Amino acid sequence: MTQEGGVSPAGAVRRMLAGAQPLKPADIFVHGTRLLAASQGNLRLAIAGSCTTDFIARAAAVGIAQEGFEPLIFQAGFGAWRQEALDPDSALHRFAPDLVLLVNTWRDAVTDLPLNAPKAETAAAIAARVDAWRHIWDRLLGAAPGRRIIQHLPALPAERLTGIAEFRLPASPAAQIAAFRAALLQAGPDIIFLDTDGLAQDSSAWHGAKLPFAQDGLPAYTARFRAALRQVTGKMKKLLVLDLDNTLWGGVIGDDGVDGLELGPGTPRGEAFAAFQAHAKSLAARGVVLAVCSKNQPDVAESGFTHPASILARENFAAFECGWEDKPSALHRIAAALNLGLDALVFADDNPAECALVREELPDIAVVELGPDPAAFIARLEQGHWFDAQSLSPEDFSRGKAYQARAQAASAQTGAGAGDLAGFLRGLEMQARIFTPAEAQFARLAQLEAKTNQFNLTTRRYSEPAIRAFAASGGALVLAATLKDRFGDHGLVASLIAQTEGENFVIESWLMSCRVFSRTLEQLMLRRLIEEGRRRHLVRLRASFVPTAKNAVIAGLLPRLGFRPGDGESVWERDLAAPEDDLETYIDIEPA
Amino acid sequence: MSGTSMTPERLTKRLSRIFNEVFPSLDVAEAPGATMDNVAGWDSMATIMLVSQCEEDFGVKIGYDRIAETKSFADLFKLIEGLTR
Repeated sequence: MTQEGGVSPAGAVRRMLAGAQPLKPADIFVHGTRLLAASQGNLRLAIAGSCTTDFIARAAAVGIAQEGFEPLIFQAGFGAWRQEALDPDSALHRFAPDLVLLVNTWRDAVTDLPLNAPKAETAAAIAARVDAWRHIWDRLLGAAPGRRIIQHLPALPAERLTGIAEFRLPASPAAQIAAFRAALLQAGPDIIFLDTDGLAQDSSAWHGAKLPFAQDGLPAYTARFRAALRQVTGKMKKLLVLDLDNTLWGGVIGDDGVDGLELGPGTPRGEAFAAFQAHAKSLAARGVVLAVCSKNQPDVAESGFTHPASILARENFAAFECGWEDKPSALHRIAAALNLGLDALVFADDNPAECALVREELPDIAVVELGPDPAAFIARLEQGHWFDAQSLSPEDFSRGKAYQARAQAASAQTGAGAGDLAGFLRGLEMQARIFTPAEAQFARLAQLEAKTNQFNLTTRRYSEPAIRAFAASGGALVLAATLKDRFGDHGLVASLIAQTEGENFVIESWLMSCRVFSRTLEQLMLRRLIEEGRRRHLVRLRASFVPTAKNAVIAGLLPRLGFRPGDGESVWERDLAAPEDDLETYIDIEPA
Repeated sequence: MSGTSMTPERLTKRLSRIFNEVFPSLDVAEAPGATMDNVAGWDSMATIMLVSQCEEDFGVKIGYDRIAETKSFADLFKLIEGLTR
């Protein structure tokens, strides 16, 4: 499953549909039909289900193309999903799919029980059904390592049977489906679920053509399928970039001033803008990073968040691009500053011209055209299912705070003088632990070596066995550092490897997570290294900076830390006898 | 539900546009002569698509039970004409 450029059928579809906002059912039908005829592709999808899958196959093909892959699609015979999955020699297995899409409806979830059947009987029926389902998944997954399954999560039928009473009767269809959904989610932590709730069911479409939902639901289905597919491809959206004027508040702040903005209680539009801000803030709380991209004077733009009804604050944004340049350039800068690919960005703006420009110039960015009505903003944003997640981790909930601290650090550094920076760093109440790592930390150190691009002095990228060898050698020193601040615990975020060579202590590797860079952890680690060097009766520290495309942020690091040019190109030295007063740090050593 | 009544010319024009959306290679001017036999790619899925597009565009309920008997532009024209009269 590699991404492909060039003019392929999928690439052509991707380009044709880039301007079609939103997609129409006929677009999906026409382009999907064309893509289904392909005889090769780099993402093999098998579709099996208990209903007509022809339209779903077209929607999936279009979705795969829009996500940057070439679909090659196989559809199992009508209704034959169980046989196709269980028979190792079936056409589906022979197709050798990368991905299997199981298309089921509520009819597959419900056991025919008397409406007043007792709870235990219903629970047993559901458990048996889920066990059988798990078996089907295992047959599909066991046949090929790396294969993934996207499973439709059945929704309730459109009509209620006995009103509220249906929900109180365990054996009723609605109660069975609700319990089945929960049990299926529980049984499939390795399965990607696609919720069909909210796709309008049409009894005529079902009885006439066995279509699981009405045809006008195809665009909504495509968005949901793409969200599920991103879980497979790993190309998740991480950053929501927002315009300001008439997006986060009504009015133009440069003309109307903070007091003239339409925001908060008082008018329906003001309330809708505040609701949209609250929505963005909830997204941030569960790990979506926020940024601003606006044509404005930066200080004037920031003042909008001092409005009494503003729910978002300046520090909720990890990047804040305000200026008069075109938005594609600003979006490039935002992505670079946060070290994210453009395909991790979702850009939301009320202005159709800005949206069109970004769509045209940066097709990798998902563009949400919010339109003129703020009451529709949340729906416009969410209909793309850009930030749908299958589950959330503790890191998702703490990411916002880490970026918030980072943004505060950045604004303190650029916006105000050094005095403010010191105050800011002091206010972070940082505590670090610097130690020689034990067995449990080697895997994390190797991960840092592999992942760190920015604060990486030499980019030598030592493997876990290599780090272990340094740690075991008497002439070498491996240091690890953890950092806490008042926002939370960042965990193990830095490492340093030094080696004795004659009277020199040579830095072989020095890494730091970009989240904590410029917090004076550099100084603290260097102080520890100096201490160790003196203990070993060495004369000087020696280091070399090996520039790469991504580590420019630390180009000036060594001179800033009191190193002077030494013998040889890009070799820097610092005498161990020199006092370390210049290495000012705002981090305390964490009490053991 | 029934739409407002319209002239045969107007119905032809709107239906031709729908045919062109579902079969981009079929020229709008040629659409009125289209049949399952003379249009490449017109299968039962395409009929379903045509029917659902007509339901949305004309605001009528044709019903998927009519799909088997819908084999030409003229068939769909007659169905919609009956529903919008």
